[in-house]
Amino acid sequence: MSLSARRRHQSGGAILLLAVWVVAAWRVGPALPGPVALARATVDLYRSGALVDALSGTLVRVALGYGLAVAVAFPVGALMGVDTRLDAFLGTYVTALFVTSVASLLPFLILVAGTGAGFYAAVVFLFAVFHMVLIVRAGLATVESGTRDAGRVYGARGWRAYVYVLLPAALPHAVAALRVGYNRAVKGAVVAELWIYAGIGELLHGYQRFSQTSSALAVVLHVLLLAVVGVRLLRVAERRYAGWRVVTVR
Amino acid sequence: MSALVASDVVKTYGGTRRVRALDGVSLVVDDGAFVVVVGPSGCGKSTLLRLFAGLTEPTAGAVLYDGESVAGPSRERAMVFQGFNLFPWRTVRENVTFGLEMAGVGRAERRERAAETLALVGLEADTDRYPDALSGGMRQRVGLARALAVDPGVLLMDEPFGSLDARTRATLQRELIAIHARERTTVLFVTHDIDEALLLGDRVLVMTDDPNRIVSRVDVPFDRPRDDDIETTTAFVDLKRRIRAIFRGDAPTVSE
Amino acid sequence: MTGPGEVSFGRLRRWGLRLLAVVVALGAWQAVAATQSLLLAPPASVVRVLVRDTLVTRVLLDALLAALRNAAVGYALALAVGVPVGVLVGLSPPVRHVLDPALDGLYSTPMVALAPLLVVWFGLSPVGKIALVFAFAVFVVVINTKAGLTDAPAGLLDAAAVYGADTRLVRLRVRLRHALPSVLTGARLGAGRAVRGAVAAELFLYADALGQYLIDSGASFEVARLLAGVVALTLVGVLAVGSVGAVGRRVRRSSS
Repeated sequence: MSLSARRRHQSGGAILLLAVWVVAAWRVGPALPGPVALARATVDLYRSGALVDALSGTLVRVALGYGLAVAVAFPVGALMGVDTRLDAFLGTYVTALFVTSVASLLPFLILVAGTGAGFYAAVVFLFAVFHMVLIVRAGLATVESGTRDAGRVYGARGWRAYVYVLLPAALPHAVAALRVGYNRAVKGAVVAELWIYAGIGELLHGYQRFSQTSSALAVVLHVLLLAVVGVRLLRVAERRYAGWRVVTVR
Repeated sequence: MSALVASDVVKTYGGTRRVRALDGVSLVVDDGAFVVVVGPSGCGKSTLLRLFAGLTEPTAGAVLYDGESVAGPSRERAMVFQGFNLFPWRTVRENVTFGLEMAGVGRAERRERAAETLALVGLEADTDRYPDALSGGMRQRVGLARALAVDPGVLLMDEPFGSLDARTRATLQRELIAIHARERTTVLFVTHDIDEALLLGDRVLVMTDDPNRIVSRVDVPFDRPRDDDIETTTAFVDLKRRIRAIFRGDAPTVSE
Repeated sequence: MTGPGEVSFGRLRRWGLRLLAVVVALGAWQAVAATQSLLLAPPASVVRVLVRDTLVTRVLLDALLAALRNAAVGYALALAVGVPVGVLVGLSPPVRHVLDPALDGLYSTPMVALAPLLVVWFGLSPVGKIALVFAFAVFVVVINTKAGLTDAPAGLLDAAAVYGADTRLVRLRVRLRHALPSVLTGARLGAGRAVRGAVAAELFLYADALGQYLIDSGASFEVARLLAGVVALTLVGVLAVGSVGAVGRRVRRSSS
């Protein structure tokens, strides 16, 4: 059996990184947990059920704000992509809010929305929606003129031009918007939970107080997984269904 | 009966610094004829085709199809593009039947028509593939099939083989000659390649830039069906020399 | 198409619509603020507080500068580490194979979750804040640098080889030169993330000047002060990204 170069490099690299980690953990002491301590902490977290509870709570909060952001971003982005007047008008708000630091709005949002579901929804929504609007908008605004011409020549006029040409042509951007939006939504949910010491935030702050770095690191790794798994799945969908158009997201 | 007529067409772009893409162009394409417009890039030949397709409107003058002024695109005037412009999210069959679908033709009839036209261009085996899995030559076959599928009154072909390699181009030229011989569709074909123009056309219209006009009309005397052997005949070479001289600007321009 | 110096109707209309959008937003803000005076301050008082706290008492200005110091140090570290690592990952397939999946994952990780750990590791010192800024900014720099190096300019390398420049050093220089725009993009995006990281550090690690300003304003329901802080931070973010972008454009011009 022969391994591909990629696999060989990856297993070699993994062993090397593991070795560095073990040595570093040994030198630094309890502040940096080694692999064994991390594994033990992870098992404990699963046993107690605290991590699963917190993560499922986070996922629900992500779903709520993200769903709202999708519901708003797709129509708004689509309208901006097809109509230059709406683009100029709405684009003013989208750009202004896109560059606003949402985190700095936290003290304000908590005044307005309290600490309930509305707060999470608002933070997650604000984190995700503007990126998505801009990507969907770009998808429709940058459909090649040749594709539009072909649609017109072969009878796609009026609503048909949208349904049969422009919207399908923007599909890759739609999937990319879902991916980037999901990632932003997870970041928003984590920020919101850290801010009011709930869910993941409650866990992390608790471990911080008692310097339980291995448990804290285990939670961080699960947050990473939550973000990465969703992003990866959507990336697969992107390659599978929309590989014919490359979307660059800045 | 004249399928396509342009009379004294002017097309300008831009505001104050106007670009005259067409500067008084007149032409007639008879029913069933194969007419080729040959000219350098920037002479406005593609604009001319877009006018007939109804993708743009003339600034002055008249553009007619079947005796009526062209107002917007119609399935009667199908177009084959240099950049193919296939729909990448549709399979080969779905690309070919796009026009029929827009016209509300039922699924069964669409499939049948797709099978016919794909057989005509030799793509029966590729109906369920996506355009990005096809070579350039195959893509343009799909483009041609998409146009033929709507059974158009006239085929507008905008440098359709311009981005293909020489061998593929030759094959597709041969196939186009055969298809034209069988279907007798009216064709208005645009190219910058003099050989291609003389090989394909019953009549060649020579366009120049500055001003963007048709300066000469050449009737091509070769019998059909043709093949590319005619390219080595004296008559062919003479015609080619004549057209080149016009492009260089050192020949008297010939009008009707 | 309009010439330079001309203002077209379309452009005028676009700016008109933008102005309208601003007016509508300010009007709505004012209207809501009038009915909800506890939760929302009117725009004029936000501006008043912004001017007061940046130019007169300078509380906000000092707070911003303190936060920006952390942002600048963390950003400089992110560039100093991110660019060489990106080059290494871009040039060496083995390194790429090992680090690529990790980089992609870390790029999409909510770095703010590290905040409690950073407190444990670095206590209440600026080092933790700088580390968070670094974590926010470094991966976008690495990924963009890598991307610039991996889409190898085959044509350019061939040209370099043809002209006798086929030494490893020259090949490396050609590739680095080709990667420059992408590196600069990474630097620009990293600047935006550094500012966000600095804000997150103020809010989630421990609050000194800026975090205190925002949190105190919220706790004492001084909404005008709170929003002035948000507006100031937005301006700082735009300024940071804009100035790094401007520097990048100069670098690109002077090296081409």
